[in-house]
Amino acid sequence: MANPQFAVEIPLKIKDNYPDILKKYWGNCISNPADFFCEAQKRAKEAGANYISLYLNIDDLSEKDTCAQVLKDISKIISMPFIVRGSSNKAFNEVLIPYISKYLPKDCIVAHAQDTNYVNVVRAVLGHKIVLRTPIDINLTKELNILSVDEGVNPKDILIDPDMGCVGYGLDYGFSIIERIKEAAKKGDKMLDMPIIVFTGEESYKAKETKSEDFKPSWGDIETRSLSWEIATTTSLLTAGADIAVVWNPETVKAVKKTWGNV
Amino acid sequence: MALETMQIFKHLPAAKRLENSNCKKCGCPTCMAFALKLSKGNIDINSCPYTDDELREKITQANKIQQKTVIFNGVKIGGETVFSRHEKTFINPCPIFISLDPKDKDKLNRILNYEIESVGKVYKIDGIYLTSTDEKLKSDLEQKGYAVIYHEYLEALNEVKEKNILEMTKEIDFIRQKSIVERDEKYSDPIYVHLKEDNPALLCAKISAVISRCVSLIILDSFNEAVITTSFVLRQNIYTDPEKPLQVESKVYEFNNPDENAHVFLTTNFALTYFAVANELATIKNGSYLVITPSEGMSVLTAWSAEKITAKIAGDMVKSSEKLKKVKVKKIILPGLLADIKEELELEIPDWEVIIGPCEAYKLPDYVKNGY
Repeated sequence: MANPQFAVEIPLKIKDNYPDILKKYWGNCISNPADFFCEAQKRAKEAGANYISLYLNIDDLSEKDTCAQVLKDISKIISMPFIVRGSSNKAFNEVLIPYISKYLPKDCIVAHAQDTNYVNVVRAVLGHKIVLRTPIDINLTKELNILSVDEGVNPKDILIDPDMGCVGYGLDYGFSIIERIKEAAKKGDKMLDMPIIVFTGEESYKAKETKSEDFKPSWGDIETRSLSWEIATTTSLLTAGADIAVVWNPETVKAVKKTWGNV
Repeated sequence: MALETMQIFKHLPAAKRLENSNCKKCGCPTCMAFALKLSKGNIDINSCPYTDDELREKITQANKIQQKTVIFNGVKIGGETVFSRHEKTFINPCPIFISLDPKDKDKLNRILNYEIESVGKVYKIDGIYLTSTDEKLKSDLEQKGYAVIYHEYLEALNEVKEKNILEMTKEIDFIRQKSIVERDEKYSDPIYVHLKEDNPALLCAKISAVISRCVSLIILDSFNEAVITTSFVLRQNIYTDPEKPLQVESKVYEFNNPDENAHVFLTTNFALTYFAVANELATIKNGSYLVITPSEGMSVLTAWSAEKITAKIAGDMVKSSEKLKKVKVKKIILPGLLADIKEELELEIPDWEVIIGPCEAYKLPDYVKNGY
């Protein structure tokens, strides 16, 4: 909790249901992925983020070549610590992540390895840091950590993603599991003593509250509400003990850094 | 910390194998039974004539108040009993008060007009902090149900001054550690923070941090509806009892006056699930029925793996519903995550076509628009 770190994340593909407030921010450069990445990286640095994250949100494995091409195109542009995130589909990632692993710059953070795909995923990216995701269950978190170490992952390269919901959509589950993991680590459990990373951007902007104006006046204006939703989600989980927050709106990084102290 | 049964028992005659073991003078059949009751606070320690001094010390300590509860016009502040919500639950959602100059009629009206509904609960501003004396206004507001305080009322509370998040949360944690964990009565007053920040984004970050660390009361100068609403919903999350998943009643719900051409959907009675789907169905102009199964408040995937939603459970609800008999085109849309029960369900309710819909509620309006 003392020194939270921030990543600004951009998706490979802008989907229809991403909120307008983000499309406005992303809008100018989406035609060319390399330009888009370049601009986003600039804004990430401006906001004071520690990482830039690229979310390979493909809908079909046939797009894996696009992913590889984009990574090749941006390899010379990446000038800050880099996170690459596979799709939301576990089966895709089992193929996608190994496929793109040779195009990664050195020392990235790679997300995610999960219960059904971790063997192929972690083996393909040994030497990088790997994010292990489990479905809000501390026993499964510990288990996947142990299994990954058995596959040759250095415990120091593991980041824990206990998964989460945003404000209003089950934030409390993620909040408490983060507190419990930190408690266990403090008591000496080495297999839970890894940094915790939370993807508050993607989760927050799934919420209807960040996209729809179909709310009564007391819910406020959409722009403030949209940003507040991500700020509240991010800040709350950081106070629970999360170490790295991956956000979509750079304004969130600015607001939390400005109020945090010591970052 | 609460004493556990074994910690109590070792001080009793039966544990020490003394001659008064299990004497029943306390009304319990055994010393162990007495220890269990005492650990739960269900019996007075003085019922037993043979407790030792050490035990009496421990019980006195354990009965010391952790955090006081301060009440303004029925609005409760403080009274927490655990440091982390996962140990049991937080109890009194930290009220949010807005500071008000009695002459500021605009701000007063905005406060009075503020009302939101979230997961079936209605929230208004909890209280007003009047910056100057106005007994008539105070009385009017209290009649409307608001807590109203002046500055001197805050003397009953511990102040955490507005600083950066790290400093504020450290201080709040320190006071709660002292009062709730160590039962140090010097720190037992509830904790408040008065935030003067007026930049909405920065204010939102500060409020989120202090709510998450279980501050007892928040006073705000700046009144921004979007920030306050986000904070109320966050507060709702933090103060949810971890052991009681929010549930809604299992029945067939109606949206937008469904007739014989209504859409029919089905999902579980976990409150978040219900409200996520309900919010979407409310936007679909054509009326809908939503079948909510008795799944002990579990979400779709959890209920499915725990067999709290099965083809039989779903089928029984559909078959027994008078409302659904009126539906002409018998198609029922299931959550995408329940694809596995389609065939079995079609056997349970043969005059219905079972359709597997999207996995996420927010996709429902488009899904319906595109025809199914």
